[in-house]
Amino acid sequence: MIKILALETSCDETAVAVVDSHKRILAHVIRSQIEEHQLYGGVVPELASRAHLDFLPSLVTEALKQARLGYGDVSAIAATTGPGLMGGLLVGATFAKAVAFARNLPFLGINHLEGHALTVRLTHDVPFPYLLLLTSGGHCQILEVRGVGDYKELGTTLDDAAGEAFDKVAKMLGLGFPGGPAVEKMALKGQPNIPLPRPLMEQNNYNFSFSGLKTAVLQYQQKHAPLSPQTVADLCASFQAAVRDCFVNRLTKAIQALPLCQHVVVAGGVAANVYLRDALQELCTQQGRIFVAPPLALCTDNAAMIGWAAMERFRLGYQDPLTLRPRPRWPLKELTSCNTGF
Amino acid sequence: MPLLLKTLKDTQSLAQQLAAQSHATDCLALYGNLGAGKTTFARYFLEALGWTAEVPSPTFTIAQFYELPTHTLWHLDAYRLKSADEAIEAGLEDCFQNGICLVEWPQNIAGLLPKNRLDLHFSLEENSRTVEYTGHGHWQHIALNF
Repeated sequence: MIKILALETSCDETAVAVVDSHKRILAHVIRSQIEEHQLYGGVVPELASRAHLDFLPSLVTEALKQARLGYGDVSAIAATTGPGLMGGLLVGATFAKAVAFARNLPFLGINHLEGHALTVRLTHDVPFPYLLLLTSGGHCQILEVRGVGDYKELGTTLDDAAGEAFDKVAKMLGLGFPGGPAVEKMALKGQPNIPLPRPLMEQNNYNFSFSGLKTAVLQYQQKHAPLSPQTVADLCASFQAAVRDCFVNRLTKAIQALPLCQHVVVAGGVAANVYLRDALQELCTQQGRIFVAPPLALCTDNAAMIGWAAMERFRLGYQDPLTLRPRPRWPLKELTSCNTGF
Repeated sequence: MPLLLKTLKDTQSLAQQLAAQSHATDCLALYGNLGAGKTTFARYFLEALGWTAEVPSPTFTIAQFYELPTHTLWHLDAYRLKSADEAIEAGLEDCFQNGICLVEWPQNIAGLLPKNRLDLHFSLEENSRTVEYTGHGHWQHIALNF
């Protein structure tokens, strides 16, 4: 049985996981969990490569302990090598390479987005090809997942990601952080009765744009200030409905263009929004497709997805040289197919 | 005296003029509230330097790196940072030393901004967009018109 130790340090979270080839997650730790257990005191900077460096060794020890493994039991070690912040990527990649060198283990450098794209094959039995809506604070893309390393980007956001728009709208309306749950909760008390734009919906492509929608919310707020609590709720409901319409419109086009994709998968933190999830479920039912979303803990950034992407690659015979350099900018469409049929 | 940005064409023309005068280690600090037009300006700036693909918002990633035909460029966003210290932790100092830097929410990392820089203050009120500018270092005597 193959067991892979995986590190994720591309953005805010420091995460370590161990997965095996039977789709079991043997260990799954992220920095915030450890904090809750109060193993460490003091304030942790929200974003710091030094923080990754400080936490990574103890998180790896913790993960190996959880999995009841030593380095000698691991088949390969993987780290996220892009896209992301260079400082964090260097910490994770260098750590993994050092362990690989010292223990004579195979090393794999994994694309963070490929981790999100393949997670559903860890949690469910989803065959290629499938359609993926990847929507988080940093990304909003529609992809055809054809195989390991084989992604066709149908569309992407031209500006803000959907999760970012949720966060910024929440901030404008004084709803706090994180914005997604705050807007969703407030929207339950409102009606979608305020006209807001649905950017790009008339266009014959699969792209998104949420910057103009965000600005429209701001302009409405400025024009009608001060807003009553009911208007804030209506504005949230209207904003959410606009995002839903963009998702449904773009995905409907994609579903119809790709009859071979029986499964439609949503991944990323925005997949936690029940209103949007229900709308996508309903769309798939109407279109005769199967809707799948991984559990939330595996939708947001984590290392199990990096371990699983590494597993898919490793069992096809892939590994990377220790000279591999992290890439802060690394679109999925620049990966090359590992040519798999299963 | 604020310049009026009547249409997107004006923002584009502003970006083109500034892109033509920018070199490695220059910094354009883009001030303004949410929706004021900072990222739109950045998009036109990149376009003027030959970038044809999408320009995602850097809020989440903090830094987006672009290799352009004649320059390298960092599109930075300090929206999620609380101090210059956090920016140093994130490695943003290095960015200022090796490319053109466009910085959104520069007020969050005030102590870290390079000497040679142009401050651009964007604002949006009642559907009208304006920009005010102040040059520092070798940008001190810049005059813009369009």
